[in-house]
Amino acid sequence: MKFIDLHVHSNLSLGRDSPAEMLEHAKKLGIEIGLCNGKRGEYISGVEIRAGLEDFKNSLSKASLDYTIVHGGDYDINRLAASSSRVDILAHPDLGRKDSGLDAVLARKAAENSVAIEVNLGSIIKSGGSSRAHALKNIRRNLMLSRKYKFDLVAASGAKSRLELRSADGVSELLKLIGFTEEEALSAMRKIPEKILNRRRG
Amino acid sequence: MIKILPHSLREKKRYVAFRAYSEEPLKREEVIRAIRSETLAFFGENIASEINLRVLNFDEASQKGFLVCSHREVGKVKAALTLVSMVNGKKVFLQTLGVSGTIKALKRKFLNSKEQNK
Repeated sequence: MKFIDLHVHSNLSLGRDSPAEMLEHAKKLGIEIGLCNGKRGEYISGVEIRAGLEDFKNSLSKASLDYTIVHGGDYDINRLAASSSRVDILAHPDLGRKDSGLDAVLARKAAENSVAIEVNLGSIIKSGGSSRAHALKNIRRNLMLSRKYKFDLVAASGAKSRLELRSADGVSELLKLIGFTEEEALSAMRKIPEKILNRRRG
Repeated sequence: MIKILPHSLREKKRYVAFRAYSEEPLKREEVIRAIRSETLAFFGENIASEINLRVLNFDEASQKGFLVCSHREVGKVKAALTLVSMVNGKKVFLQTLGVSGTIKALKRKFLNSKEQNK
C-alpha cells in the first residue's frame, strides 16, 4: 500500500529537520511527503494557514503552493475552512477540543466544498493513556460523519521531525484497528492525497 | 516433564522483522521494554495475551531485530510498532521490515543473517 503524507513540517515551518533530510527519510520508508510552507517546484509543498478569524481570508487568497491546509481546532476556523473551496485539508479539527471539532453542518459543507478532513496520526502516536483514547474517539466520530455526509478523510502524520514519519503498512493497520475498512484506509492514505494534488496541477 | 504439544495443536506463529530509527543507537533491553509496554498499554492485558508477542532478538549494531507473535495478530503487531514513539526519552520509529513463518526465511529475506545469528 502506498502512503502520501501531506502534513509534514521541515525546518522551513515548524519542524526540526531540513527538507532534504525529511525527503531522504521518506524515501527510505517508501512513502511520499508534502512539506508545509516549502519551496515551490523543488518538491511537493503546501501552505499551512495558521491565522485568526480576521486574517483568514487574506491568508487564504495568498496561498499558492500545491495544496492548502488549515490549522484547525477553533470551531469558527473549522467552519470557515470547510466552507471554502480553496481549502484542501482541514488539519486536526479536534486540536485542543473535547469534541471532534465537526458537526453535521460543518460535515455537509466539507462535502460540498471538497475539503478533506485530516485524520491526524501524530495525535495518536505521540500521546498515551486517556489523551490517546480521546484522540481515537474523535477520529471514530469523524469517520462516522464521513460515512454519513460523504466528505473525504485524509491520513497524515503532522510530523515535525523525520522520526515522526510513519510507513504505509503500519499506518494502514492502525487505521483498520480504529475501524476503517481496507478501502477507506486506502482512500485516506493514497486516493484522496492524489486527488488533492491533481486538483491544483490539473 | 511436560510434553510438547503435537504439531497439529501448536499455535501458529509469525516472525516479524523490524528496524529502529532513532536519534542515538538503542539498547536491546530498551527496545524490548518499549514494545512490550506499548502493546500492553494500547491493547490491554487480554488482547496482549492473544497477540502473544515476544521480542526474540535486537542487534544493537544494525539496529534490527525480530519478534514472534500469533499468526492471526500480525496486523496488531505492526500497529503497535507504529505507535512506539519514545524509547527511554529518545524519539524513535520502529519500521516493520517483513513477516515470515520461520526465523530462517525471515533472516534470509529481511535481515543480514551474519549479524543476526544468535
